[in-house]
Amino acid sequence: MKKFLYSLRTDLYFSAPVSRHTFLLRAFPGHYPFQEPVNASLTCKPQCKLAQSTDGFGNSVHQGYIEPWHTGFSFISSGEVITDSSKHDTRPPAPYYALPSELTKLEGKLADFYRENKTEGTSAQKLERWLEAVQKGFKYQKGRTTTATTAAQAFEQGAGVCQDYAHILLSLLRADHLPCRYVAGMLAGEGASHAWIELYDGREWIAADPTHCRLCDDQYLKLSHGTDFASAPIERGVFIENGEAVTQSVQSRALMREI
Amino acid sequence: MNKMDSLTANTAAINRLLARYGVKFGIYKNNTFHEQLFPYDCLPRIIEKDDFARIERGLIQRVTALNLFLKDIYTKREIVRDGIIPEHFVFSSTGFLKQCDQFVPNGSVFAHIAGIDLVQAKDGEWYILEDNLRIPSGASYPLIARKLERRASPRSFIDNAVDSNANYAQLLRHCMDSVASEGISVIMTPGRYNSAFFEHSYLAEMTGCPLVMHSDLFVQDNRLYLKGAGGSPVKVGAIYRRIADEYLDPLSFRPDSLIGVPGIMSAYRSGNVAIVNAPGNGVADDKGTYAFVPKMIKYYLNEEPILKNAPTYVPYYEEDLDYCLKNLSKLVIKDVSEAGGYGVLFGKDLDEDGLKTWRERLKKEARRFILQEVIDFIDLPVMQDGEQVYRKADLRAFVISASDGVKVWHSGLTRFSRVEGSFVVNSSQGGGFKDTWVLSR
Amino acid sequence: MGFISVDQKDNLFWLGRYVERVYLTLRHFDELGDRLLDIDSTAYQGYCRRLNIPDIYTDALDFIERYMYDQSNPDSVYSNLSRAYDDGIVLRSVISSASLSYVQMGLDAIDEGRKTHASLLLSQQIIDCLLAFWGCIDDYCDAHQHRNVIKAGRYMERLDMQLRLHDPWPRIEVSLRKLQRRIAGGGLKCDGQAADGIMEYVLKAPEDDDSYLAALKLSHGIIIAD
Repeated sequence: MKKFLYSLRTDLYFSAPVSRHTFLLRAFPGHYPFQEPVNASLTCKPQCKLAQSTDGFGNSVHQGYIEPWHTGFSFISSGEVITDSSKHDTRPPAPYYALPSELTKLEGKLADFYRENKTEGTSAQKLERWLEAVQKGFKYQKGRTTTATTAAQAFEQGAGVCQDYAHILLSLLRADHLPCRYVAGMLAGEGASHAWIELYDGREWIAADPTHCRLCDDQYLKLSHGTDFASAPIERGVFIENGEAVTQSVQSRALMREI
Repeated sequence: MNKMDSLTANTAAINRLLARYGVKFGIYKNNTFHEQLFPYDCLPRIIEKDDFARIERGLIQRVTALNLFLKDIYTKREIVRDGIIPEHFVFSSTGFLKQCDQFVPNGSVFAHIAGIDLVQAKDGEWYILEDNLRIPSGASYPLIARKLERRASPRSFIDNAVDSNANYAQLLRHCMDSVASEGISVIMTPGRYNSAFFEHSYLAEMTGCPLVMHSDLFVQDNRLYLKGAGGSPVKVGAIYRRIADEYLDPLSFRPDSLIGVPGIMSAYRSGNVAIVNAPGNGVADDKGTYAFVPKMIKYYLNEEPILKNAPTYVPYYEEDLDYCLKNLSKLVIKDVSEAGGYGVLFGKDLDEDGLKTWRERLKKEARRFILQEVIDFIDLPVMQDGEQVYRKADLRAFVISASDGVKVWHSGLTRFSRVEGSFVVNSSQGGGFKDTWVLSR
Repeated sequence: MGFISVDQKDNLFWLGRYVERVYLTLRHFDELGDRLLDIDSTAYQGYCRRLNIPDIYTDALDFIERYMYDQSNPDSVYSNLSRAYDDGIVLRSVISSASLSYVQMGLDAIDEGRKTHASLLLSQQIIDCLLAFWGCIDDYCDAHQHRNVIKAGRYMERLDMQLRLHDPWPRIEVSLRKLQRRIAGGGLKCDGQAADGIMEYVLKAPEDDDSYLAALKLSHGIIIAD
């Protein structure tokens, strides 16, 4: 069991003013057997009321609306959290977690990879083997992939980031008909948000981090889960532009410090 | 049929009035938008009182079961757990929306306005061809046509005791108000270039609900608001949206949708607005799910289905696949992901090579298709160039589920093929329409 | 039912303008027809100049045909009525199917007339439709404010046409007054200075082109955009 101070700050910069900006945030840590947020807060700038609801996966979602013209948008999620990775979520999975999603279809070289490496065994054994196989078959490299890259596309080029690792592992586990989901969150010691997976082994959800090839320990803070990245992003927004096409840049900083 | 003479004689006048009131539907040809008059035939389809009473009971039963199915699928999924419908069928359906999971809308109503397509076989038996639980259109056409028929031929309505169909707007309005959260009821259209824009605007006029577009709406504090010219925003309690699920909310569905309302799913899931029809209904009107509706009726209601499905085969099941492979040339193949008369293929139209290709395809893509026996449904008389000819016709009945009960509209859209022998009646493919008279004696 | 969207309000104003444009055009068309037949077969040229529309016509007969029916001529009666239809189609629930049907009938009449070339007979039929349209607006368009917006469009267009065609100033004054009332009733914003400026011309009643042109320019600023 550990206790952390955490904060996730994301800044969006727009190249021209935007208005009627509506957004959803999945940046508020939920209560799970393995994590207990304390004094959690979520705020945004320009300031607006954030209204909480629950999405189809059970994530806490905050909706906001900023009507006046603005050229930047920030949100900060911060607080304290007590983590205990010896405890697990035991709620049985929705059936769709075992089915391929848009970003985790088993295709191309990834499908070949699956056929060449598949083995028999328990869920836990399969997970362990797939973690190792992915570690060997895929390299960490920034800038090669985007948030829209599918597992198969990322695998084809052989390198990507934590999101791609997670998608590839999900794709392989789902090929074995195992229910599993994408998790977005934070990892102590990393400056940005992180992604990993959870696998339901028939009794409980086991969290595993394919980027680091290990099961998750107390250093992880979960923000949201879904079938893949796109199904439950930390931030998603739309707005109207004033005649000219707006491009946006994003800067995100994560901080998790043990206390 | 003498009773209809005055209607026949006044067909031209009725058509002129239909044109005058802009009873049109839009169609895209070579990427440009055209408005077309919806060809109207003056001879109504007449359904006897007793016959309709049975149809009505059957439709209420069916739609009740479909609503229970939707609630079950998006909550406990008992029907899957109990092995009545294979899990795979439900959750890999494109109509199942994870964004709707674990939410029950106001009044537990999902399919508020159901358009159920039926045909009558030559032995008089009615068969269900398709359930449309998303945004079925068509009610406005018999509604306005009836108004004009009554003017053109008062005699027909004195001689025949016909149930009035003028209550459609009230049924719709009552349904919306019954499930609404606090606020006003509105009708949302994607715009005038939608094929059913006439219907959207006509129903707005008839119900007295504002006709709105995405740009008039916004979501704040998990509530849906309507903002018009001048004045402050008004809270919306129910929205009868005539846009498809995938375009409904760019924050939850297709991010590139420019015709949706960002954040509406959060307002909906917070219970602050009723969406009519509920998003996610596609899982119940999927052509693949159709095959299981009789089982659903038994499962949820413990009743025998009153109305029959067309005999349907699901190649996913080994024995159905065997039957289909053997009998392909007499069956009709339907692609479960297509609507509007598309993706329908008759085995009798295939040559040996075609049959061979399709047999392979059915083996490979078993989940994607269902196959049905061709029901030789009755031809109805249609006036064509002053002569009475016979054409295939179906019936789209409208079933309205409010929070206080399910009602069947005593009318319906009868669509007919304008090509002799053809079974394709869809307006997008050149079909015409008739009014449907339900006799009250 | 009082709701109207921002776009619909704009549509309502322009529906009023286009319907009135067609109506006044047809009224002039009748007079002009007589002159073209009896007095001066080039009279349409001056008409085009005053309305500031391009003179693309080869002779009087060509003018009568193409000014009435031509779908590709943006200044034709048909084109202007089509624009009215485009604005009206999104307003069915605001102005009623009954009102809208008269715009549809006007268009159908032109489509029909195109076949018989009975241009000058046709204009009466369309005028009938448009007058019935305004009658329906009064009867079926329940919201006071909506009626004022569409009529603001109507009198804006009338003022514009009168100034272009050098109508007598007292008649212009009548239109100006009506317009001001409708602007206020429709919740639109009126530029008082522009209105006063036009009134100065009305009082002086000059007959030269420049004065009409100056007043016309003033009239274009009379409604302040939101």
